[in-house]
Amino acid sequence: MKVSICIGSACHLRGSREIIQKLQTLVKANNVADKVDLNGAFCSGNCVNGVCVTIDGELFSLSPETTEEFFNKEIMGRL
Amino acid sequence: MVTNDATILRIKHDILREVARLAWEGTLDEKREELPYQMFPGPQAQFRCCIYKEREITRQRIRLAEGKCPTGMNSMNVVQVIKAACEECPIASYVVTDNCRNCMGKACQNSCNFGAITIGDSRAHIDPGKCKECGKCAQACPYSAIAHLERPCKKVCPVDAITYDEYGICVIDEKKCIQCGACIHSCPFGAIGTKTFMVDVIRLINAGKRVVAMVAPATEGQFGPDITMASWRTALKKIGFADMIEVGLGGDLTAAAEAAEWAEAYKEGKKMTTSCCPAFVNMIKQHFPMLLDNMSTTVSPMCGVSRMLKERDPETITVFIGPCIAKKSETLDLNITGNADYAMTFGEIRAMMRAKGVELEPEENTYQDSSVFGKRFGNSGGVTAAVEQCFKEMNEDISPNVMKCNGAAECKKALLLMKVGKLPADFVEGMVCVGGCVGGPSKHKTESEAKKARDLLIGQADGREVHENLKNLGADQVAMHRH
Repeated sequence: MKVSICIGSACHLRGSREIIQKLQTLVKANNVADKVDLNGAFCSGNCVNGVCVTIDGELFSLSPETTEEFFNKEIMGRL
Repeated sequence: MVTNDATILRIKHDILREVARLAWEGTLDEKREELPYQMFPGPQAQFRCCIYKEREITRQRIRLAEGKCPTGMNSMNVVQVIKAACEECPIASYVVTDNCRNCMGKACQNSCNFGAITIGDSRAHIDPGKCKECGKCAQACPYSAIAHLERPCKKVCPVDAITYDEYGICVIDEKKCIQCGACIHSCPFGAIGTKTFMVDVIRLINAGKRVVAMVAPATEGQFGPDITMASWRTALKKIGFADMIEVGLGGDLTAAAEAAEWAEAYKEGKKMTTSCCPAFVNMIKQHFPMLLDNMSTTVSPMCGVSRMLKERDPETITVFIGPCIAKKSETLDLNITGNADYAMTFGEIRAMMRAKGVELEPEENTYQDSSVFGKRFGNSGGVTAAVEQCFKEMNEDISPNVMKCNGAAECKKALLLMKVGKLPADFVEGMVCVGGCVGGPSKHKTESEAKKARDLLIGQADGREVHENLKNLGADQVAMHRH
C-alpha cells in the first residue's frame, strides 16, 4: 500500500512533518512496515482543507490530531 | 564545462532565478502567469518556431521550478519531460549520410543480414522497417557514410527507461527510472528537467522557520580554489538559512557505521553493497530487488547529518545542497526517519542566491566539520577509503576485496554478478555517476576541471581521524541504520 504525504511548504506549515512522524511511529508499532510504503509528495495543489495524504491515489485531508484515527481506520482497515 | 544543453542552461537558470525572486517577494501566485511574457516579450521567437511555443515551454519550466509536473499530470517522478520542449528527435537510428559514394563494392548491403539496404540513384538507403540496428553496415562502410543517430536522452539512460509516445515525444518509464538525472543535460533542447523544492524552501525561510543547509562533500572545488565551505556558510546565511553544515561529516558517520557492519559481514562471509548513493539504491530496489538483503542498512551521509541536527533541535528543517538529482527521491522515501526534508541542486540554490543579489565570495578556508575521509566521500573510491580508514582506527585487521563501481554501467555489472552468485569481490561500492558525486548531473564543473581546486581545498584541511572527529563533534551517538 502506497501512502503519500505532501511535503510542500503549505502542508509543512500545517503540520505534515508531525503527521509523517506519527505515521512512521504507528507503522513501526503495528509491525506493518513491509505492507505500508510511506512516500513524500510534491505539492498537488489540494492544500485548502488540510495536509494532503493519499492512499493508492485516493485523497484525504489530515491534521496531526486526526492522524491516529486515519491510520486505524483507513490504513489498518485496508490491510 | 560544455554540456549538450550549454546554451539553454542560461534560460533555465534565468527562469529559476525569476521564480525564486517572486517567491522571495511573496508575489509568485499573482505574477506567475506574467512571467513567460516578461521573459519572452516577442513578437519574434528567439529559438523555437514561434513565440507562443517559447512561452508555453517557459510556463512548463515554471511549473517544474515550483515542484509541479510540467503538464498537470499526476506523476511522482522527480525527473520529468517538458513535453512542449521535446523536438521529437528521429527514432530511426542508422541513416546513410552525404558521405555515401554509391560505390561499387556495396559493403553495407553485403554486411546486412536483414535485407534492409537497397541502393538508390545517388546513395544507399536503409529501410527502417527491416533494420535491426545491429550496426554492421556502419562498421563495413569504407567512407564512414552511415551514421548512428540515437536520441541523446535514450543514449545516456543507464536503465533503458526512456521511450517515446506515438508522436515521438519522449516518455520516461517511471518503473525503470532511478532518478539519476543523466538525461537532463544530455538533451540539446532542454526538454528534461526536475521538480524543485526551491519555492517550498523559500516559503519556509520567509515563514521564519529554522532552515539549515547541508552541503555535499562534492562541493569543494566546484566553484574554484577561493570558494570555501566558509564562503558557502556566509552566502547561505545571507539568504536566510539559520546555519550550514558539511555533509562530509555525514561521510564520517556513514563510514564508521558501515565499517562496523562490513566487519561483521566479512566474518560471516556475507557479501554487501554500499547504500549512500541514492540512484544506486534505486537501482537495487527497482532492478535487483532480490539483492535488497545484501544492501548495507547504514543510512546515507545526508540522512546521518539530518538526524544529528534534528536530535539537537526537532524543529529544524534540513535542506541538502549538491550536484545530485536522485537525492530528491531519497528525501521522498519516508520509510526512513529523520532524513533531509528537502534536497536541492547547485543551480537551484544559486538561483535563490542570485534572486537576492547574493553570490559566493572568496573566504579563508577555516570552516571544517569533516575529516578528509568524509570530504572524499564524493569521489569514486572515497567510501571504500573512508571505511578502510575506520578499520584501521578500530584495529580491525581485515582487508576485504571491494569492487569500486565507477558509474552506472559498472554498478549494473557488479549487481548482475552478485545476482548470479559470481561476484569476485566481498563488497560493492556503487556510485551511479562516473567519478562519483563530483560527476553528478547538476555539477558546476566536470571532475577534471574541478580537480586542482578540489585537491587544494581538501589539502588545506587538518588531519583529524574519523572516530575522533565524530567524538569531538558529539556525533558518535547518532542512530545510523535504516530501521
